[in-house]
Amino acid sequence: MDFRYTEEEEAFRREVQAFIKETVPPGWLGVDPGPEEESREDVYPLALKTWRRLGEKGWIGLTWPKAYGGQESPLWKEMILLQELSHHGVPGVDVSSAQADLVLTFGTEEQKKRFIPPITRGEVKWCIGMSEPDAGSDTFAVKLRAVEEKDCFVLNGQKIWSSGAHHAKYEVVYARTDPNNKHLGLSVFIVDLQSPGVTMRQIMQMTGLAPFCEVFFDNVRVPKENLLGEKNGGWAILLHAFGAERTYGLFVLYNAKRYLEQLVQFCRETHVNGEPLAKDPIIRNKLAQMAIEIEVGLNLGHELSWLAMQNQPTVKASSQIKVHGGGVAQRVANMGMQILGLYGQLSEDSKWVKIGGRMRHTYLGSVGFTLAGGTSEVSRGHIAGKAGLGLPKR
Amino acid sequence: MDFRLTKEEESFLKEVQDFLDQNLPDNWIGLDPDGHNEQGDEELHRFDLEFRRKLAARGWLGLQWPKKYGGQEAPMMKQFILEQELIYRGAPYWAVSAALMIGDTILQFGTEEQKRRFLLPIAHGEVQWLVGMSEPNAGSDLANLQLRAVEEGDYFVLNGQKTWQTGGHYADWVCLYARTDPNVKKQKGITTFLVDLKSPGITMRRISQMTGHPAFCEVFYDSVRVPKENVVGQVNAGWSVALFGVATEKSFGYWLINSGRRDLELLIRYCQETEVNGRPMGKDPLIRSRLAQIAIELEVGRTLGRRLHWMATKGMPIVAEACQLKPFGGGILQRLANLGLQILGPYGQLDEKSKWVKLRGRMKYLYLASAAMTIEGGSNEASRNTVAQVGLGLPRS
Repeated sequence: MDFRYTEEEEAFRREVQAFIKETVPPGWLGVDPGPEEESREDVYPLALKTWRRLGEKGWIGLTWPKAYGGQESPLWKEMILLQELSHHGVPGVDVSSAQADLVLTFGTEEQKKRFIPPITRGEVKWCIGMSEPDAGSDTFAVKLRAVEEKDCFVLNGQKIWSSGAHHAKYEVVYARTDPNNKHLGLSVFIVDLQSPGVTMRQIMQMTGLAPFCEVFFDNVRVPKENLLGEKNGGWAILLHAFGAERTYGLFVLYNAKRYLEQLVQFCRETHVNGEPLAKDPIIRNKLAQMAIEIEVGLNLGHELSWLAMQNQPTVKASSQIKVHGGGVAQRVANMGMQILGLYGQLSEDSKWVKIGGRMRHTYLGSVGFTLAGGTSEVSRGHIAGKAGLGLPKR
Repeated sequence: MDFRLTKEEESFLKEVQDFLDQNLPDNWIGLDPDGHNEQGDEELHRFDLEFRRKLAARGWLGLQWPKKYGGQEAPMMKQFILEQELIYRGAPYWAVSAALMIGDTILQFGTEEQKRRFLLPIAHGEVQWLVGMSEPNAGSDLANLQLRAVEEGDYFVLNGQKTWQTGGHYADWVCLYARTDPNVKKQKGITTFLVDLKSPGITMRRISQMTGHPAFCEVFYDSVRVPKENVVGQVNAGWSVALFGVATEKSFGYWLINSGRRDLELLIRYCQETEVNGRPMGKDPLIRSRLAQIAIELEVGRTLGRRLHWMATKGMPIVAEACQLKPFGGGILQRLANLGLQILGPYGQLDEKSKWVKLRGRMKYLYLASAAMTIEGGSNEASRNTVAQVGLGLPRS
């Protein structure tokens, strides 16, 4: 057993940190990973720039085959990159890589050649079309219909919670090709979001941002070459997607680490009744508690990375880290609001705002962390089930 | 809205407080409201009996009952005031409450002859009663009880087992629920019996507990003959008797809260008197913060409890509120015990017989005992189901 990173790994981490320093503006307070905050006017250009620069460095799809623009690097490199980007709150990284992974796993040679290189170059963004108003945790309840015609499939229906769809070129859409078979009747399509018949509506959130979209499909014609995998074989792609999902909890934890560090700095610099907040035993106690929980989570994350690198199943570990991470983020946010007192409620454009209004943002934003990308209830179900405790299904 | 007691109620409360000052030993640490301390310890049991007789001598057992059965026909509020003060002070009360519950059941469903026979001895504090409900396969699912009662001439013959019988080894009589008809829906085949525990065929086995106070028994019935005149209510109509009995136990959550107030005060005094690094612990901001948190929760519970009492005196249904209070109270006591152990440090683990023990080992006892408080008398899960169904109107799961 060895908890250390190798020289090579540490060197790469330093490289990534240098990259980040060059990329973000000075005094960068960070944003949450993913498309969430890319909806901000001042963040989106940075996100595009970062995505492109990552492409230029060959850091998108590090583990992918060189034939499609990847580097065939070991998995640890990608994990370190994602850790550092989350920790420093760098925008630009989103679900595009995970969608590319599906194409690499299930796509034809033609599809790989067509779709992967623009992603590795950082030129395009992808999004996911999975959830519907009546299909969330119950993913197989998808109703969006795909009817096969002579030279294409015709899609009709609606998706919801597609994050970043308004900035994306392609959406990976899970659609029903067989209405008579719930589990074996789904097919997956790569849909060009510019296609006629596609309309979108952004969903406003309490954070004041609107990263999610409803996407409506009205007789959208999708060429047959855009079917991913087998017709009615969507179940395999879904299962792969769930099994491969191992980054969400990790993102959330590294993200929370940044918030905690900002809070600690705030407590060092802020005096109340002549004493820095950092000397108050109750505050120290609370900060320490959060540091402990984050450290526990990060260690769970190291184990997760190691399991992934050994090609061992990661469902249990990623479910654990997702549940833990979501809760930690919410508790950090709560604590931040208490430490900041009334200042915590100020919006970022107020002249008295502290820490750039980040605590208020995460207080509102972290609510979704125990829901998005798989609810905590679903995650606990995985832990209880055959991936973890082996308890029988209800 | 008025949170005050009436003058009359205030003066009765003062009477009870004076009674307790006179009849509880100095530096009395207090007993838990579930009766486990005194039913599990011989010396405490003797104190319980003595105390019960004193309560009886004041006419305070069965306060609401008709005078002809030994009661005072007093208003419900008087009973509430008495019991909450007794519990707050940690006086032994559980056995009294069990007997009163059974007495209430007999008053509601019993014959005149049964009322005359059984109620006076309860009011005089002369008889200890058991509640014969739980079985190995019938806890939260009480209707699943299986102890069999078969009619034979002038008797019913009982065969089977009860468990978690608090104070069984000290009890004289049991009010027990048995299955008289196994061929109908389970709630419809239950009958209520009053059984003399000296009857032949009854054996008991005490159950060891981690607190070191074995308060529970398993009670085995081997062809025990019970005269027909000991059936309470109609044959096969026992389920509604059971529900009535369970409904009267609705104050348990509030008892936990009031008992917790005493334990918190104990901890606060300890923190005021104990110095660490030259400073009383009561000045440590972290400790103050944690004690305050428990105080807040207890005060919330107390307010809920007072509302519960008011609703009961108005004849309003209180099932949902009582089921809110019970998990709340149980959880607070567990957190209080945890805090107590942390405050006491390594001393918290000492047995009460150790010469270095603090607070006579009360925190250690409570830490072990409070584990049961979210299970006994209605588990948290069962309570929350009731809150969901009766309180929130949600459909059954």
